[in-house]
Amino acid sequence: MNEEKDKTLVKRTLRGNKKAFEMIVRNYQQPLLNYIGRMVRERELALDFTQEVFIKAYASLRSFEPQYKFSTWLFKIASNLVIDHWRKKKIPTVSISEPLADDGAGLTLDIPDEKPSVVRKMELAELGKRIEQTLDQIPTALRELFVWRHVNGLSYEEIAEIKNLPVGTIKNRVYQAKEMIRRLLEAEP
Amino acid sequence: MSCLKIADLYGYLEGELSPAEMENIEGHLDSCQKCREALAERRLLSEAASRLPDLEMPADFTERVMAAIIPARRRLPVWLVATVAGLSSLMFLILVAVISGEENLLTLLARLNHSFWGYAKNALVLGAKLLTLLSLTGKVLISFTQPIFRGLSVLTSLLGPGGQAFLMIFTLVVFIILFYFLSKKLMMGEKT
Repeated sequence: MNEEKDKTLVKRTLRGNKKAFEMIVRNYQQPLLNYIGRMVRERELALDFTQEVFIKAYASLRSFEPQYKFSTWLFKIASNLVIDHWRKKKIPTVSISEPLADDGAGLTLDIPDEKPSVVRKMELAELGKRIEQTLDQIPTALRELFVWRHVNGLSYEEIAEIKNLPVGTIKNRVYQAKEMIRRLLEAEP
Repeated sequence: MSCLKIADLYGYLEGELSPAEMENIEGHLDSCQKCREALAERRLLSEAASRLPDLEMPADFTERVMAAIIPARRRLPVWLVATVAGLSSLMFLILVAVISGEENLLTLLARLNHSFWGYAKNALVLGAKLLTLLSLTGKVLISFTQPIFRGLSVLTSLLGPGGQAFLMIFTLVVFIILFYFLSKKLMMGEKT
């Protein structure tokens, strides 16, 4: 997504051009659904939330500060919606700025000696499906970072801007999420 | 060199390390089968994760969002609103003319062309009586602006009844046009 193009569309929307905001919606509806859908795991709810993100963005468009990326601003709105949802449903959320229970252990190399490598047994597409299934089993805060990094293709810097945390912390947590997924896949029969 | 840490593996895969660190890791990978396997495994995992498919988006989603953002509101036609606003403005001008004038509105109307006002005469007489009452109240309240009204009175007295009628109609048209364009300008999100 083009940063300058986004800012032009925002300006045009603020001048009352409905079509400009429609273009914003078209550009970001898929990335937002990809993120929200993997967070809430209910299709209709994910569509409602995606719509809600655009409604909130439209209502508060004047508060968008052009020195930031528009995409990260949108993902921040989406993230707040998702976190509110988890809180309402009393799904435990772990702050990614706090150390996780298995912190440290998750970052040591653990190579099986005799067992055949689990990922070799699967084709890439099949592996993707399995990864999708294991997403539910990793902490929500880590899942969010994993999805942003690998599904939405955001950089560590962009994720750090959304979460307002140091880049190093974000990297560490993304690695941790990937290791958790790998171990879950390894544990599959 | 001992086996690599997880962070080193991911850092290496994503090219996040310094050239010296990359070189060290490559040196170790050349001699360590376990780390090569660990790296290959994580590479495959990252690749598969980055190829997760898009979730299915309904074809009409954009339209749905736009409809929710700018709901179709039941509104009066702009021309009707503009006409009502223009008439209100005209009534206000008549009030000012009556307040500032030497004669009351009934006399003023009587001097206008009867055929032009024929249809609205009864309604206007009723409205004029009300305005006369209001004008009396207004005269008390705005006595301090008397010099301005005197000036207006002189100006209006220069015009004949036809001129006054023309001025009023002209003002009404100007107000309708002005209101029409302003109403379009002030409606955010309505412009296409």
